[in-house]
Amino acid sequence: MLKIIRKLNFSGEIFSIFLALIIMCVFFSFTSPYFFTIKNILNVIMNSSILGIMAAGLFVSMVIGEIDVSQYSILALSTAVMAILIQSGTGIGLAITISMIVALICGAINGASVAFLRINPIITTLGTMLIYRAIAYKITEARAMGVEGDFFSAVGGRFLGIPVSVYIMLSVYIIIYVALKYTAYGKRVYAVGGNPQASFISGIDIRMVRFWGMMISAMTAGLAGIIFVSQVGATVPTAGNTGLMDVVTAVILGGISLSGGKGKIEGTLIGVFILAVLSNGMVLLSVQSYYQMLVKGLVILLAVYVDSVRGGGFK
Amino acid sequence: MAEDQKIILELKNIQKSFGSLKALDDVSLDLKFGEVLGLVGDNAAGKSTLMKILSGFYQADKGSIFVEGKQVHIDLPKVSKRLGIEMVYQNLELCSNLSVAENLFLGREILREPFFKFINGKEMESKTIEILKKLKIDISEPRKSVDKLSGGQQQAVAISKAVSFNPKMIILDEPTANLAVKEIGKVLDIITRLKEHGIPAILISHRLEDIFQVCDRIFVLRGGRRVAVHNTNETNRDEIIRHMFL
Repeated sequence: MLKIIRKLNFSGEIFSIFLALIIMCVFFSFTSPYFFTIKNILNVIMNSSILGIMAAGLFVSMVIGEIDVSQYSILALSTAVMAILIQSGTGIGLAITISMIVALICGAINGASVAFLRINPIITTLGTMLIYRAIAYKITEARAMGVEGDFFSAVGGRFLGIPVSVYIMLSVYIIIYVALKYTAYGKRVYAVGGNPQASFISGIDIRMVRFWGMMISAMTAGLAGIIFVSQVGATVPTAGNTGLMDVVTAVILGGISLSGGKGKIEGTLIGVFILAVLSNGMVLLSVQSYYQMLVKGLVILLAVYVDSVRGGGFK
Repeated sequence: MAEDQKIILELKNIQKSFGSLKALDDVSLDLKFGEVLGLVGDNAAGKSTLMKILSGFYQADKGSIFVEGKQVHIDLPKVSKRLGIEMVYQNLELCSNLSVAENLFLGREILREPFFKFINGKEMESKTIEILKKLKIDISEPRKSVDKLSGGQQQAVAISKAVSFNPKMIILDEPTANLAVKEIGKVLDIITRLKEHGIPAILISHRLEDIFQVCDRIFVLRGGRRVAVHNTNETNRDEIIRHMFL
């Protein structure tokens, strides 16, 4: 059995996370007649695409040993700017470009604080999380703003029966997978996460690696914002307020080491699906929302516990 | 060892103070081609300070450094590296989460193309095997993650990494500290092999038995002063200990 697993090129960790996902799917299939229908499965995958794209970016920053809890605020702010521009008659292409630039500026602020001012990344992004969110509230005057256009209908629609957002999410994962595995940048991401001092002595500019980690995290938040607007048809300054820790939870579930340097992007994708299946299954079973929160909280603790048993944990 | 051997590194009249504390007082040292020089001394004798001056982490208050007869000013670690001086640190400057090959080429990966910086893993692995073979290190799998290696093997990887830069000399800071007895022998063998490949080395160690096993000359520091330099075959343990403490 073990040999077969190795031949399938599953590392033990990825396999166990995958197994957890399968077990959950089987459980919900038996407890709800609606779970294992094509409609519902597509629904789960589509709903997970926003979270999934952000998780891919967060994964990179967490491998470096950082964290970013401001992603949903970046999403809210960049989409707010986009909506205001579109409502005032700016072309969609330009509005989207500017919204991505806004996301990158947010990432640059996070990155500069973490990499150059050496402020703890959790504290940095807790701070900027409030700041970006506050600006989003201010410029939208706390209103939802509708966004329409052919481009958004296309991104929110389907291609060959599968939601377009799913193709986008998978592309993001493939790009990050290839970049981490086959490029010098990828090796440096793991090196800085594993031993910053050794990386420095080896001539790596660890500040730039850290800076770009936060930039990538913000970039995926900006991209997720475009999907959000396409799916919802509007932006709200409260976007993601209820799921603040969902992205972090998904990445942790994916088996990343909290101390940095270890983890696989495939695991993060599975972690995203675990969280999505869990939310969907509990909704189908009509579990009350505060119990849903409770379960998610327990899942975070369990995942972190597993990490510390594996020797990750915080030092 | 012939007396007329060429000198590759010369430190002349080095002085270094930290506040009122004189860490190094008029210390001169020379390293010859193809030799291993042992640097011994009690704690706070100035061994680390001297090597940190050589590797560019500190700068001397007075004195001069010559590499192959040319005076140099080592004001940064990268200057030292550029001059061909490689350090192997006591606390193993390796990324244990990366493979042996990835560690050897960290920060100067062999690339397939320069824009996206796709790495040439095969070439890095075969070059790694080459270097490991050259030093007769028994690690056959360059893809193995460093944290799966023993302490001695990790130290061997650290030395290989230094060698892979084609340095003019290597400085080893307590390379056998924290190793099991069986593994110490293997690391010392590698140091001996450096000599076979014509790479002179300075070995800093608390373990006099290591020093006597691999070094050609022994340099003794005490209280920031050079107290003695002996050819290993003309001295003995007792004499060195007398120099160090008495």
